[in-house]
Amino acid sequence: MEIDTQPPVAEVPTVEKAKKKHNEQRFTVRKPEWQYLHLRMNFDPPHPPAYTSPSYPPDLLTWKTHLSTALNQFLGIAGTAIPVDFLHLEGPEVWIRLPREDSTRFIAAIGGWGSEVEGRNVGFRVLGSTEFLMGIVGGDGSDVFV
Amino acid sequence: MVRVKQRYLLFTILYPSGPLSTQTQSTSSKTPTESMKFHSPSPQNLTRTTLASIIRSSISTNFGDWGIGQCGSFAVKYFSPATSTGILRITRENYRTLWAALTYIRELCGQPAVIKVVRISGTIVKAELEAVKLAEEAIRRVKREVRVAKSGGAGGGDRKGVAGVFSGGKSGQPATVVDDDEQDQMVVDIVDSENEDDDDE
Repeated sequence: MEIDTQPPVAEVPTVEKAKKKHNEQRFTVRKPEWQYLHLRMNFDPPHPPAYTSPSYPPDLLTWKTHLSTALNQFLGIAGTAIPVDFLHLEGPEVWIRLPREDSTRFIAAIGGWGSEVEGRNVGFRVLGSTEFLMGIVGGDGSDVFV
Repeated sequence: MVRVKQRYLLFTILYPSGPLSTQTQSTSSKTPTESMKFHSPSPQNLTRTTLASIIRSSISTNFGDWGIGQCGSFAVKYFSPATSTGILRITRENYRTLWAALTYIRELCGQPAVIKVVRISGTIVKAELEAVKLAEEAIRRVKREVRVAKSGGAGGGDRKGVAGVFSGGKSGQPATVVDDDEQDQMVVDIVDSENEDDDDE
């Protein structure tokens, strides 16, 4: 087996050369598969800062239950059939992923929902909605490539 | 001025488990053929209004508040319990949602039932014509089944009846059927009178 002793950098052509040698290739992702949402569960009256209890901050099962209730009310069984993936849970906020085509209906369903749990009004707030995860991770994304 | 476009859905209700026993006896003294059981008349308490509320509840469970908002404004234009056939009117954009809701209905008045959408039409006249054609076909099918059952003997009547349905569907027999037998004629009379009821409504 031959070992390539040449440093790899030397083989990479300059940008100008590459453009001449190969036609420049560009593509745009027009219809991504997923939509990423950043949600927060709102409580009114709000919990005091640094407050914790078995029911707060809400766990994933609580999230799932409340989201399903909201979807079932607005979209019926067809709404509860929307597949939701929970990516990250942080305090009363969560990142989720769902099929892009369903995102409009989903946001409409959870945005208009409200309930009362333990004497507090519960609702959802959509903090962010994007087709790429980078959109809700925040920052310019440079830290991902370190 | 833009016209609101409508769609008319012609549907039939099928009863896979056959009619309730009391109704079978009142309809005819003879044993009904397989297809008569399947296309049996609807229960008496199933009217246009009850049907509408059943459909509305199906829309609600399957498509929620949004579904009711989109296609809760349908109208049952016609329903005949004798032939279990009906016509619904709905705005053109939402007929598929209503169709889906109909498909998800599994029972009517405690009886297992399937609602089959036969035709979608832009005018109610075409839907009515199709309904008449459907009734005529049903009569022809029953006549054919009776003949096959008779030629096959009384014992295995039911089986031959089912076989007759399938063979009849494949061969595509001519529309006019001449009846030689007096008993055949009797069955036809019964079914014809049912059909007249349907026309009257």
